[in-house]
Amino acid sequence: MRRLVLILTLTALLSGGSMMLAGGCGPGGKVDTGSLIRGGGTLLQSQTLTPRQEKVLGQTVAVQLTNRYPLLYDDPLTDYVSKVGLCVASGVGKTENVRFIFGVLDTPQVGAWAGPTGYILITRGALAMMRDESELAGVLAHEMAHAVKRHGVEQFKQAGLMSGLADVGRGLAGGGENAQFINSMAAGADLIVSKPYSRQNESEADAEAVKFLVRSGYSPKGLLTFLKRLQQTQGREDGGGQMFSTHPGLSDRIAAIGSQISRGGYAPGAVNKGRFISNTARIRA
Amino acid sequence: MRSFRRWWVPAALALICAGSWALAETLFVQSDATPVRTAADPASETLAELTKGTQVEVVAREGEWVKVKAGDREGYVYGESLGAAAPPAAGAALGGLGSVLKGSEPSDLSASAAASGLQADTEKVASAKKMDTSAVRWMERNRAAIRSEEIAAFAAAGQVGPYRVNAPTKTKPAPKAKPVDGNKGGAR
Repeated sequence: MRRLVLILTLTALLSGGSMMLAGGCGPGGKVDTGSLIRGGGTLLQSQTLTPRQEKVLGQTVAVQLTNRYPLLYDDPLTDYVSKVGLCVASGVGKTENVRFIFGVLDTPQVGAWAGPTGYILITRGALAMMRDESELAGVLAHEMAHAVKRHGVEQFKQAGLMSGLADVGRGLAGGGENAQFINSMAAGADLIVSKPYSRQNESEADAEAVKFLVRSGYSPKGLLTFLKRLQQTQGREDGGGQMFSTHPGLSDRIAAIGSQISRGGYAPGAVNKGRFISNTARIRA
Repeated sequence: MRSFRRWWVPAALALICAGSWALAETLFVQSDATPVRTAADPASETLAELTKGTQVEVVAREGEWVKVKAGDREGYVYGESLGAAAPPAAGAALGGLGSVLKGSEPSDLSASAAASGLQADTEKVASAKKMDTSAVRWMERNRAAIRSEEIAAFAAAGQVGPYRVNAPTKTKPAPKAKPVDGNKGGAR
């Protein structure tokens, strides 16, 4: 939803502006493979970040977001969002170097982001737009899927930022002291925060999210109903026009998720509307 | 009369001060590690971090921000982080879900907090780019303080998570049907 969404203020919503959870939102997404090639035809994409570098990248994403929007220092609400996310995590299965940490950004804009190694941030505006816990679980599951599938790291590598680390490869284990490392991490985090994922990544995150939800006992239809509401709010079939032109349109995403759920024949799953309403009442006031 | 003139000014000042004190608005910090900033801007420098329950005196309000005085320091706190009433004490029931607020077991809290936190390199990146890390540190502490028993109670109350282990994942028979995931949803 970071891309799931992406952002759209309520004002923008009212004015028919862009939106975010549209899942797919945002320009770009295409990879300049040429940028992956460095010296002697070495494909830097084959290199990868160390677990510690991934952690630093994920934390830097969270730092950038919380410097862009205020964090909502609300223990009960953050606890609630975290617990829903951690219940979804019970359906994720074994992962490496991922530890989910959740936060709520105090902005009416509708959005959610995933940083490498599991930093999940969702906006107050997105929460206010939801109707039950299965919708929250659905959005969190989509973002968690981005983290589990390492889409942010992939984006970092595709942008050629590994080259900024290549020269300090030997020093990375103890690294961080040099400006190149700092600039690469900051640029990578900015990329993950600002640039939409590819169509493929968004579709993969949707498909994985449905699996997470079913495994954890939540109704996978929550993701579907939320996307439909976004579509209605948007009033546009393709998810916001040019801004989301490179991503699967909402209709396509909704159709794909609906088809996946239909094929699965899953049990209804939990919706938990009552406790969602009571736990989020404060932000709706 | 001269004696009266000599004393009426300080006496009046004392009365004014007392009146001001009586009218001063007091708020309570609602969560731990609430940052006090130099300006009404989330990107501004953090002067200090206040613990949950700290009383602050309102100096002024600027939009969604409140200029407060805590002890001998003044700074800005985001309004949502303050409340007219003191926050519930650690261990109080949360939302009727049977879970408890984090922090009721200091040893457990400190142990889990020690296992998390920002990487030194993250601090270096943030410092070089002039970004504040207090919000993410708060997130880290918040997450570290959520105990597994709380999550289990929450999952049980909502019939999700590990408590779905033995629940059927299919509503209709399917010959090749394996649970979609092959994962029985065990606790992680």
